Amino acid sequence: MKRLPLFCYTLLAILVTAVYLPMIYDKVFFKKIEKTHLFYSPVSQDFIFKEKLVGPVPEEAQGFAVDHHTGIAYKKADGTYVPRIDFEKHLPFIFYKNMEIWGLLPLELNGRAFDKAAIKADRKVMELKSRNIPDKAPVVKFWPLLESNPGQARLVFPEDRFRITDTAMVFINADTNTQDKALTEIYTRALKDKGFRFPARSVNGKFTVLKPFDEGVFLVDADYRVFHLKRVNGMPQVVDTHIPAALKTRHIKVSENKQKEFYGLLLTQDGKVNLLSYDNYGLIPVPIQGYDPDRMDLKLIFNSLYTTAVYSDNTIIRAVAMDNTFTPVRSYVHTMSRATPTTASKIHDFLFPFALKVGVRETDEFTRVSFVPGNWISLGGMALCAVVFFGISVLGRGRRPDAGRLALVALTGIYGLIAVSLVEPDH
Amino acid sequence: MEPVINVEHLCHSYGKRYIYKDLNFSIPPGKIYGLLGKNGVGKTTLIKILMGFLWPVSGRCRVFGEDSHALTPQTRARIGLLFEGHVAYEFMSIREIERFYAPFYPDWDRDTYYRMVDKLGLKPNHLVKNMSCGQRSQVVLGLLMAQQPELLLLDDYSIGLDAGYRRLFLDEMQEFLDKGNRTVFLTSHVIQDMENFVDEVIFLERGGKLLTTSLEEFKQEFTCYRLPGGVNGSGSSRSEILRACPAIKNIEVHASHWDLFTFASREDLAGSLAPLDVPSNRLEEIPMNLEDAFIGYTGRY
Amino acid sequence: MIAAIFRKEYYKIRWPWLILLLFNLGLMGYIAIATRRLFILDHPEVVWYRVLHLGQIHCEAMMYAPLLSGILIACFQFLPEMWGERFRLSLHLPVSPGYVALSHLFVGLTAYTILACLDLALLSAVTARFFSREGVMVTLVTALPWTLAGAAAYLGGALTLLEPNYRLRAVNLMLAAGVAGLYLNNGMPGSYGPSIALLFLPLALMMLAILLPVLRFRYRRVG
Repeated sequence: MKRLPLFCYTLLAILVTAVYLPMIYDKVFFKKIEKTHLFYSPVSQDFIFKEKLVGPVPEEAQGFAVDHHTGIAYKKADGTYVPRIDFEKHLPFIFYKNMEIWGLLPLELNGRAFDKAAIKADRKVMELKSRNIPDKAPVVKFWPLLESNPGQARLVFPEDRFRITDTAMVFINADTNTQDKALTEIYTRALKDKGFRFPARSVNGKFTVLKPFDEGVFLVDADYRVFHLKRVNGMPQVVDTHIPAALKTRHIKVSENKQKEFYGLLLTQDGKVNLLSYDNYGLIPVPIQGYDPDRMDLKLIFNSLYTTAVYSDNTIIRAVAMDNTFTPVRSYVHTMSRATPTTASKIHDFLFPFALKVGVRETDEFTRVSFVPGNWISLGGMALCAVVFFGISVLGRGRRPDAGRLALVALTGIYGLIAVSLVEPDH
Repeated sequence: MEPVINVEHLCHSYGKRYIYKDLNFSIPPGKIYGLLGKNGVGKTTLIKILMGFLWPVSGRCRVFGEDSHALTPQTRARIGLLFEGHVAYEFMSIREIERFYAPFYPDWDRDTYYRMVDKLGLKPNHLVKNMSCGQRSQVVLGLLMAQQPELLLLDDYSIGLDAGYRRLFLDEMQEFLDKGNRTVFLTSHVIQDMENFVDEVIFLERGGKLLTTSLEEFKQEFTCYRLPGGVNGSGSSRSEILRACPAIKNIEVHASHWDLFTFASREDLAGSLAPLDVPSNRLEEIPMNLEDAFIGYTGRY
Repeated sequence: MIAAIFRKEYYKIRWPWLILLLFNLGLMGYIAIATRRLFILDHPEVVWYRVLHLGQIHCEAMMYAPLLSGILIACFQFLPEMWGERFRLSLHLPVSPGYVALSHLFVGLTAYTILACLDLALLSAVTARFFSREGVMVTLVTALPWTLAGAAAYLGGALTLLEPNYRLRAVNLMLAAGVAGLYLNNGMPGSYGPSIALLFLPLALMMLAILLPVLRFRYRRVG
């Protein structure tokens, strides 16, 4: 009679403490340290980064980290620290406005001269954050198809949105909240005529009016063929991109840019990233070793000379610098300072044998229940809890603890200790 | 015949404070027992254990042969409980409360219930919470009787009742008991009410000391001897006398006299007092009613 | 027998429950008005963009309402039982304490579930009036965890109120708050989608864990 409730109560107490105790501890003792900003310097032709340091600032960096925030270091890949201004001078394509103020424009690099206009014209950034991949976020599968030829500077949202069903591209009018049968028929027919097979595996676009122009959407059909659909003067314009179905396109991060060089980034099922070119939808593989889209954020920083792919998980940041032909010229791996163990993190590991996290993680937008295991330090805490429990039982109650309860405390550490203390018999 | 209640080596404590360490008694079927004792001797604790709402620290308390804290539903159906203050579900009406209890008891006697509550002259939709304590006691008693239990545990049935309702309660209870072989175990603050109602009383003292007797026997054998002027001259204190004469149950010291309570005869008492120089020749027997005797037995404080 | 317990609970909570029902209906009326107002103040496609793309929650007013309903139903149901320890009356009935406790919880959960389902149904109706079925779906997935928080609040209320020991009552209150908090994370609308099934587990544990304070109430100790 009492065993099941006791078990459930104990388990409940363990679950709740395993969620909240580590969470409260982290809130009290941890600061969120942002990721390192890593770049390839066209000046030194090596990597350079800006990083928030965990723990004491090294002596050689101290003079340089005072201008804005203490604890921030500017460091080159060769290990030398530099002042902030030097750091910015290493990255003239990024800090070109300061270069201009400091009278350093036009500048000459690799035998070419760059003025402000030239720098601006070649600059762009593309990003693919793990959490923004649509299958990792609660995306409402109901999209607007913007008019690509609005006849004015500003883009506007259409009065309808569409969904892709098993058989059709269905438009729903927002004013009436009913299906627009004519549009549905026209667009469904247009897709089918080009060989699109319903349903769609993904619908990819940049669904905002805050962009210079609209490139429509890329639809991946049931056979993994990719179609480019635009709404031009209200009518469908469908192109079969002939992107190989064998790639099993998982996502296309569309990013309209005035340079009209790339539609965006195309992520394949096996985690490879390609630039999707305006030139006949050609794919240019981005050579990033060890990239895992489900754990890592990727940033491509373009400038007049190089493109740098920077990608990172929670602890390690990597970068590949490429020339204009996307051939790697240099790469770099750095363990970020945020991964440095601190006293607080060691105590955390000692106290908590594991943690349950209920919430949004860094790598996706879903509220998930995740089990975060401890490490070998946690074994010490678990053993200590078992000893404390044994001691309390023997000294306080004059009897050895029940083996099952002792095992529970040994396995679940502080959570188990609290739980068994709560349900201690005889009140 | 197997006792209805059987308490063996019962021990209970609240933390480190022991209420009793070795309590033993048993109650045969068909008898009415009253539990008497001063406040704080553990009457409520004992009744809670008997009702099954307290798991004793050690020893056994069996009701109908089962541990009182682990009674089967079938056995619980044979036991009627009256909680102190005539506790009832007050949000229900006269009719609703009967409809609630009825399905649980196969021998439910609806007529008995309505015979009891009809005396109140209230409508069936009258809510229990809008009743006086006396009216509520009728409802509670009606429910108890309709259940037709073999054992009734009544925890201070008299609390909150005026003399009329107390009498009504006992009369109806008596009438109910007369119909069959039922056992009652009760506590009450009103000792006189027990006089013509209970067959036996259990005196419970601090520490768990017990005396089980019939009221008749108790009244006959427990005597008060008054010593005018106390023990002046003898030099013995109350506690010395109590220690030296185990036959004396209690001594109440008054300004003008001492009252000595004992089960012993005058001769035996005088004999035991003689070595202490107490002027036992002045002892005079004082007639007592039941309440006097009870207070004499348990002490005033 | 469960019918009798149902009947008793019905007598006990019918009026306060009706007031709660009116409160919930009023709240849903308010959400209907507030949602309609969104469409008066802006173009429908812009409201759709904000709600279906940017994560605005048009029914945010409902977020803590199920929590309140859960707490209140637990109070309506168990405060009268704890007042003068009237629950002893039910626990002496010739059925097992577990049966008595679970029957009470079943009634309370039914009363709560009716309110929660009514809320969700009305919310769906209001949402469907203004949004496509995707909007209805994301709204339901957003609001469902709130209603689970309400169920946790109800069960937590029972866990707390039925516990006779004051120290443990405080502990149980913290456990209840902790479980209810699991369902009230501020994520994107619909972010609970993949976890909802798993998050029924703490509720099931709570339901069975409530038998522990009931046994402690019954015997004052659980050896």
